[in-house]
Amino acid sequence: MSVAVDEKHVALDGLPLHYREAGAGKTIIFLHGAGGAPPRGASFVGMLAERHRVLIPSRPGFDETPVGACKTLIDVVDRMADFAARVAPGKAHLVAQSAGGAIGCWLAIRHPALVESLVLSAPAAFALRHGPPGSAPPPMDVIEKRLYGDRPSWTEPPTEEERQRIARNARENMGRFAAPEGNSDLKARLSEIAVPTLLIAATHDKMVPEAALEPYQEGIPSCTRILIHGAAHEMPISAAPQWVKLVADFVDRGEYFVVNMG
Amino acid sequence: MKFSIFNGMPYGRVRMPGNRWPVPNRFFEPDQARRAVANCLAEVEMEDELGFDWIACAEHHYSPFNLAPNVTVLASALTQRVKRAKIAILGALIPLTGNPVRIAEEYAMIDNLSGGRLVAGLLRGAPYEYLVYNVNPAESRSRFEEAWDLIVRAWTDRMPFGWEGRHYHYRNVSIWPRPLQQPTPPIYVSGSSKESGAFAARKKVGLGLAFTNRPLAAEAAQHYRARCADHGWQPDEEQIVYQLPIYVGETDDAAFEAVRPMFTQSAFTGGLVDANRLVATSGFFGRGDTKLVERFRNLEADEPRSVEEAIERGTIICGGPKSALKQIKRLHDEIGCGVLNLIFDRAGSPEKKIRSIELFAKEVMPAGKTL
Repeated sequence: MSVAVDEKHVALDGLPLHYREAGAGKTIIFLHGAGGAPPRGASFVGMLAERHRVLIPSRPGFDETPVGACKTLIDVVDRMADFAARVAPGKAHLVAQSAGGAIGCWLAIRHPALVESLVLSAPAAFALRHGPPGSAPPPMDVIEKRLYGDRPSWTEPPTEEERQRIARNARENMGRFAAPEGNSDLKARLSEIAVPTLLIAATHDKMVPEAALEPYQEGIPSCTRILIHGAAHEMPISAAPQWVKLVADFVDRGEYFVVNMG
Repeated sequence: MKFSIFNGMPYGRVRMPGNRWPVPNRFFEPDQARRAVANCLAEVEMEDELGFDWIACAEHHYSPFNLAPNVTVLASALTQRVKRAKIAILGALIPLTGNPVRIAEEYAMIDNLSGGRLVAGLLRGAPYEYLVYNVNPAESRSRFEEAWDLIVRAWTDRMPFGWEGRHYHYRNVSIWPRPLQQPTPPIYVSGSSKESGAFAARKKVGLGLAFTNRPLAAEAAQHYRARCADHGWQPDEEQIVYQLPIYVGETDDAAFEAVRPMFTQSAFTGGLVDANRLVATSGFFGRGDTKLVERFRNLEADEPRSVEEAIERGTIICGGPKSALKQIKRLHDEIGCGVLNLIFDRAGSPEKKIRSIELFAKEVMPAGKTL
């Protein structure tokens, strides 16, 4: 089934924030990683939008959204809260991928009235952001292999223009909203996340080591961790069927997610 | 070298015509089964006292030669009889059960019940086993690798987790007890095929070679060591196990006479060979293992026709103590194995079997342990 994906803008205090919207049903806000909005050929968006309303905002500094007045990570978080309040009134389900993880956590901490549940997919807040000092970044195809694994799920592969957009997003935004060392402020406040949280980890993740996921499960009171076997870091693409199944089931069934209903 | 003795709780001769598989269980006789259980449990105590390093058992199905379709049930009993030797489960057939977490739990229990003496074999099984629980043999490899990852994860992860794989799905895993041995008990996988050897090398675990012969085993062991080198490590000798039958007599002549009836007719006839052939030629082995597929396509042709030929091919150890030791040294030198898993059940009678075990333990094993 093909689901239309619309490109939209919303003005937030003069900041023209770009987002994509698809499907209808419970609202899922997908908080992208360091590369910005996923490539348009990523299958998971359509799969998730078959039964849900999926919003993919490009955060300040990413894609077509200017950085505006945002100077800190918390500024970005509050801007995303404005977005949620405007475009998804009531409570939404947050699905945060990789670098979006810190945004998702802070939204749940600072704006609990906007959040129904939280999915953290290979969240990167407690992972090292850079290689050893002086090391050159690996070639793009190596990075893509680490991100998407051997069997990425596309309706069509990313264009060269999209690949460049993703690389540019990562290059320009890494460190732009620098958090304190090790995100220690977030780590100290994870226990304030009161919503049901699903932590999804990839067994073949070469970007975020498993140790960097431990604080979430240790700190968030209601956190269930699920491993996707064989998946690479960008699970919405590297393991789309399994990832969509988990996310949709969690969004639909909340705490009953752990019960096999056949 | 170390010496393991395989104890599969054999039922003994089945009083039925022909040689079909599956063996109809209407031929099951309770009194004979009671004797099989009693003999097995008495023998493992003796084997432990005689100084064997491992007491081994294995999972096989619909099989009078091994009354342990759930091998952890047998291993559990062994933990209460065997006080010193390691309990080697060689092993559970992990792609078959559909529930790897249950295997992780049961192995952890055995490790606890034995005070940390479990040797954990995680195997795919012989081809014919895939006719038992209706598992697609072409999925054996991927089921095995996923189950292996899940079992090791269940042993080592310190926080609850769920699992979403191709074959297995769980929302909550947090086993109690964990194994006593940290981080895991010593693990072995079967490695006759190239894919298995590469897998063992990648996972840095031991290799078990069974139902093969010395040249093929030597080739498989060499392949395993080469793949280990690719992954930056070398296994120690104890991480290569070779399994074969053995009979030790007072003299070479006496031993040869005792086992000669084994060679008067093919062991590889009838239903079991057909079952193995059907599965082996249905995608059970990988594309790099054409030799194995061909072997299972015509097992009978591959079978030694005499004791002498079997010794030469390393499919049996047979002879007086001196000859047995010489054959063991050759296996050790050519395969590079540090553990022999010995099957003494080919003696023809329980009395001869016990005598063979005793002779081996007293006249062969002490010198063998210095190799």
